[in-house]
Amino acid sequence: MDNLEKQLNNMPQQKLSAKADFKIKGKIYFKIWEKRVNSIFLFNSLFLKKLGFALLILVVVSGVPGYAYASNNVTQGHVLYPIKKSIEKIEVGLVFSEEAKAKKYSKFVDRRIEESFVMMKKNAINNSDNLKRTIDNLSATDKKIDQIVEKNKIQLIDKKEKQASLLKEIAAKVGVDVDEDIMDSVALAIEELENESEKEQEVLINNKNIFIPKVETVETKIPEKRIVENDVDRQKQVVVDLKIDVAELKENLENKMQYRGEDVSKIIGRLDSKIENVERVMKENRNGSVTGLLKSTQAVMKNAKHFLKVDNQQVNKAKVNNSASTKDEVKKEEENKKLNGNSIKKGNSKK
Amino acid sequence: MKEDLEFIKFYNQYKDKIYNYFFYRVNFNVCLSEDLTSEVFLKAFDKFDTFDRKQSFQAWIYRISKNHLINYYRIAGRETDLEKVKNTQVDFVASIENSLEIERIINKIKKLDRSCRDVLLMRFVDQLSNKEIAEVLEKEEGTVRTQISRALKVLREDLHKEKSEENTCHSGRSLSD
Repeated sequence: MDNLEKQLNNMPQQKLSAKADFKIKGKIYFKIWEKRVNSIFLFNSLFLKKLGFALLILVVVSGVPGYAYASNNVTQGHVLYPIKKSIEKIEVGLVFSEEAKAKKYSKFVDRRIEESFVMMKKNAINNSDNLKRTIDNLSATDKKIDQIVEKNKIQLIDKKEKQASLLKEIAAKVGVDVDEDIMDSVALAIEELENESEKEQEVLINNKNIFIPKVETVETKIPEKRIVENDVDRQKQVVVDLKIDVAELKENLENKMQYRGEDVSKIIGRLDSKIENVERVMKENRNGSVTGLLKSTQAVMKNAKHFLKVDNQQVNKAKVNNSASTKDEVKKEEENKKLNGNSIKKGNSKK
Repeated sequence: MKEDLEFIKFYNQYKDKIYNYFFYRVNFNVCLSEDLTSEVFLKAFDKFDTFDRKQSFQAWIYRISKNHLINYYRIAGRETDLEKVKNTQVDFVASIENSLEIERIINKIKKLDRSCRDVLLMRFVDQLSNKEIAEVLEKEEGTVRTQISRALKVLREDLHKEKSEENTCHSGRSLSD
């Protein structure tokens, strides 16, 4: 065995930490208990629901689980977070109608947003995986709401606008220096909340649309090879459009005096490197990854301005410049009036 | 009841291996590796009724782990670029002996083709035999053997190239001195 193989064989072996082992075992034992309860009361779902309801009351009235459930300080990564999530699952399991389920999920989206704010206050950007997972969870929950609403044709009180604006606040707080993963998660979550259902998006047959229509509206089916080629061409077109959009975005942001030049450069730099990454992956023919990368790049591009902090000095300068220019205009007008007034008087006196 | 105890036994036997599997594939991120390990075992527990006792549990759990990792990247909506060197790798490498050499090897492994990288890590880091790797990847043992030797050859060449470039650089400097 040569030196390289020896070194490879000596790569250190990692062990699962005792804390993580304890958590995982706890989850497995919980599942075993769940399985047994289900098997015993298999045909008595109403009894289960009543039991679940009783458990929920117990949970609310009791100490630690009640705290875990109610507190926004219990966030992803906290020891009690699995309890909070388990209770949420019970909550969903206890409702009967799809509309009520959708409302519950909407409540969970609000919770994930609140948890994100709490994590940011605690400077959780250093523990970025937890923040990223919270925001990814938010997007996934919102997708569930869309699916229920679409399938059952129900109408909910639309909180999405408010939720999206809160996420934009989060974007502003994390800023342009945040990890790329977090930026992607936040941008995708804002997109998810601001978009109508995916089906409506598919109807927009624009160049910038990257979704492949699920419903075949054309009677004659296109042979498979041609579909693949069309997808690749479409992706290439999307990349070309993205480059144009990024250039336009750069110009727009630079013209708006309210953002710091340094931040604008950073976000444009990020977008450029994301596009380069897409092109590299396309060259390597990893088509499965391209769609996801394009989606995240588009989301960041559309929401880039939300990550930029307003530079108050620049804003005040702009205001001062504006007011100075209007003052100058007013002065000129007054001078003109005086001149006109004097010339009229002179004209009258001559007569 | 018996099945549950059997699963717990398998969990105790393979938890470190699966954790190690993820650790080397998510840029040495401890939290993420723990989360993924947890998710895989919970998934495996849900599917344990469908597990065929004639096949190896090890191959089965590795297959679930591999698919879970692919899904993780897909669901997250983007691909984690393993070319980015994050703090997690720096911390990990700094903690081990012969760290410079190991870091060099790790950086070269990252640049390999995905399938080569996977078999190489399975062979040397996960310490699976060729037969076991073939079971996990559902390939022929011969194919696995060929891929491993190809990967080693490429890795050896890359490392040799890097070393000779460094030596040229050093000798160039000493001549100018």
